[in-house]
Amino acid sequence: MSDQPSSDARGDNANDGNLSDGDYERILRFVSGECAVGEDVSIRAWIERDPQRRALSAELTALRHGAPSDRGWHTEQWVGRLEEAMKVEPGVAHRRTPRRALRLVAPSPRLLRWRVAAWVAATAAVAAIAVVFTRREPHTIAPVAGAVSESRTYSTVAQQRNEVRLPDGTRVHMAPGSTVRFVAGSNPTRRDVYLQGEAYFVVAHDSTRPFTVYAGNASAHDIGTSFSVRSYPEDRATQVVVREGEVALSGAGLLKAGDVGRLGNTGKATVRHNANVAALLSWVSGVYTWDYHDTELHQIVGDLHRWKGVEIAISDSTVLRRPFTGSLERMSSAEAVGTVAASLGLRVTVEGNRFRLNRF
Amino acid sequence: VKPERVDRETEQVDRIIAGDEAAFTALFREYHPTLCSFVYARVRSAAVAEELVMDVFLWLWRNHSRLRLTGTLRSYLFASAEHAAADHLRRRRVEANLASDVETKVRPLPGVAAQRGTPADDAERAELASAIARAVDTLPDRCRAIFLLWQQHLAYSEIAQALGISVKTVEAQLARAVRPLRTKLGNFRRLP
Repeated sequence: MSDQPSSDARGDNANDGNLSDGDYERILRFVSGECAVGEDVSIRAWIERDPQRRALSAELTALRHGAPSDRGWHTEQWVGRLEEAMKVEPGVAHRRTPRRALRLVAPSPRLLRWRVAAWVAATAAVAAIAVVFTRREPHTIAPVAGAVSESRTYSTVAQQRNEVRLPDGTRVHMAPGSTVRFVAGSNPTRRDVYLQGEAYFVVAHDSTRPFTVYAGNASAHDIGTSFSVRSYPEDRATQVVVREGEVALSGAGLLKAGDVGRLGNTGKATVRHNANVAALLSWVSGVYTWDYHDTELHQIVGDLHRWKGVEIAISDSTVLRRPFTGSLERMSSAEAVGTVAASLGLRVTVEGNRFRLNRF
Repeated sequence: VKPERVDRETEQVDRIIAGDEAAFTALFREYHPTLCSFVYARVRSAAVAEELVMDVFLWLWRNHSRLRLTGTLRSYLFASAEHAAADHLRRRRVEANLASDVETKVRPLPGVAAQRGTPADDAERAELASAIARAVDTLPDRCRAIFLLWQQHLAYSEIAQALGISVKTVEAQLARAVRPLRTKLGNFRRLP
């Protein structure tokens, strides 16, 4: 992964400049959650170093989610038809028809509306993709090789959001600069997610397999619900916002819809009821709420980098703990940095494409 | 083989093989929307897409007791859907009046209009979705299938299973599919 233009680069269009096929493959792996263990960290850093790679990463994420949404389909109507069809051909009374006879069975009059051609097509389809029918062992499936523990990691870089569906059906909206690792397989009775950054979970209901998010020093245990968890490296607390249902947050107890629970790095837990959940979760639809209350500069610097791509250098790390209260809504990057600096009594200088904050 | 869904799937598949109607209905609900979106991307008719997906499930239901999977249930379902779509298009091509069929015209993808945004945004998004659909049509068959399965969030290993190719091939072909799309469309930045 060289930062130099690759030798197989094609310079024939302005869009991707000198990105090679190998670069495309690497970024696709990252965007698709296909990185090997540890590889995502190095690829993420490599993407972050170059604006072209950052842009491609964001575009590919959008493209993957540019497929038609699920909402346009009449699933429930078709479920009705399916149930009717299943009444005609109940599942329990299956006959062991010889394999050859399968294609010769005439559809019952009731089912004639499903075109015979489609029947034959589907028969051919299944034959072609190595799904094997057997008369001898009708109730077994071939064990899948290496069916042990499996984890999958998804990451976003600065200025990139992502929406992924975990293997269990849970939907996850990821904020910029976040990593979600899903672990399942070794233990069929649980679903574990490890989070760094911020993510909003709409958990697929499965009472037999509890869903737990581990972030920072906290764990949030879902009881059938949607909620967000935030824990960036510089955050002083892990924050859980509950939109629906109930979540058990370690140290803070049971949170209900509208609650915001925080577990500080020191182990101190607080719960706020009737919070403005819509504002706290507006980032899910791409609108970050720039309202701060006693928020440390460190976190604001992180947010500006993640959401606006602003680079801020700070000479004296002791100022990172200074708290800021106020809104940076509808501000350009320069205005936002200027507002924070003025409030905290810091001087702003511009160095190329980054800001530097100094004490006076 | 990515075995991540195995624990849940083994039970699910067992129940389907045993003819458990509730399990089958649940499977249908789980996969119907994404399979429809996937087939729609090939056949460009919502009605035909839903019908083809129904065929896939009915076939599976009729033969549930003999089901023996070599990969995941998901890759099996997508492979069946891919084949149903390809077969449908083959049959359509031999029909003489193909050109006059309004259904083959590209139109906004279902669901796109339902997303948040101003009408102008929606129109722009729908236009872009159509442009992507047209560009996807120009890809070679193998590339297109890989790209569309990737868009439905299948893992590389599942795409490989569904199409009977190696993961390395999936990776290389996916890059080869995406790159000309990006060149052709300028960029994808306007996507939702």
